Amino acid sequence: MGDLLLIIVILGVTYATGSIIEKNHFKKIRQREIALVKKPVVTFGKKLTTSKKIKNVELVTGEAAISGDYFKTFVSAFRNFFGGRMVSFESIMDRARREAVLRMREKAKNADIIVNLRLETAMLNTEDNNNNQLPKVSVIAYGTAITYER
Amino acid sequence: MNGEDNYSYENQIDIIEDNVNVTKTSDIKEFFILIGGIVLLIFTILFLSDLAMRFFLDKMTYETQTKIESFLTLDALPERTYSENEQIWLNRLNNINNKIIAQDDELKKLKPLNIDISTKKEINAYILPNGNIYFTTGILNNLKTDEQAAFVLAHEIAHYKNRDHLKSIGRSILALTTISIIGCGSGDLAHKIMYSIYDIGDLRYSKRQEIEADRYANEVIKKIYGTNKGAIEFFQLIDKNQKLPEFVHYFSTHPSPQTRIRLLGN
Repeated sequence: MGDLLLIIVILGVTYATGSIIEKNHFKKIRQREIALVKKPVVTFGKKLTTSKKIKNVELVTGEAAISGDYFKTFVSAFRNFFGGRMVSFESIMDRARREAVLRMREKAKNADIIVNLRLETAMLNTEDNNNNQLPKVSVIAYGTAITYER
Repeated sequence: MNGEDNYSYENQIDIIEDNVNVTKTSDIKEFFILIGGIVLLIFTILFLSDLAMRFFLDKMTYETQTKIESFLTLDALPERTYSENEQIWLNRLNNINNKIIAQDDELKKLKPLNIDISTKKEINAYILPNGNIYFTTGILNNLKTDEQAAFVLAHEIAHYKNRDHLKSIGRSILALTTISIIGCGSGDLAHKIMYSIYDIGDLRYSKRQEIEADRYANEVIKKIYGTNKGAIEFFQLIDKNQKLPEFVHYFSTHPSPQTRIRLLGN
């Protein structure tokens, strides 16, 4: 019974802290996305052709590792039992993906366009530390940054 | 961008206002829905286990009960010599036991229950699955009248008569096995919570058994002594010794003495 009380306290605290951190993160992501709106990232199905003279072509990468909090882990443990959309993980995946893309775009600040964006996702939970089942996701975004001659 | 590019983006750039990748629901709503589901599931398992045990055990003959109990002979105290005071108490308790059995024909069908004294200092009396009733030295030092002792003894006999020990064991085995099977693969945390919810259900069940036993013992002492003064006095004694706040009893297997007094009063 003592265990249960402890869990309830931890849940309350981590829900509060997790919500604040997540809200702030989304707010910052949004601001940075707006700031970078004129620096597009594109993925082509066909070849990019341009008459502009290309000054520089560079591989750019951005990586973000985001962990869920205890509350989200708790909720997802039960979702795991009943099945269905893991709503509490969706925001973690979204934050990780958007953060990785933003970091990649910020790295290529001087480039005019980033083409052929690719995303890789890796779960950081390993066999050894899987017991606590905290969702820890790492997203790597990479693409080709092209800078035109001015 | 000049017109020769095969990709023109400037007019298409816009910030997508709606984030379709995150479901528009709050974690806390999700939490309450899932917890509600788990609580419902565990309580259904407990209810069905309870029903199954009642179905089988209420029909069981006393001979079968005795056979089962012979496998459950646990913690029998080693034989010892009793002090003069203990011997007086044993005689007194056996006399009370005879009076209790005399007023209920059902009890006459049960195997004779052995009454013994355990040298523990805590105020307690308990019955083992084999039907041995133990009074601690602590309780004997605090019991003032035969009415009080009769209430405690009748309460323990009621547990045995109702087969509470067998029902509890059977229900626990059935419910825990089911929880353990359905909880497989749902992770340690979910499993732990399932067991905690089970514990809460178990405490409620245990309290119900205690109240039933109290009611029976209350009726018994009313029949023998014409009053239930012994029961009320006994719980007042427990309350005085425990001095625990009411909320602590939510996490106990027994209702609070105040609640028990109130229920007996009704």
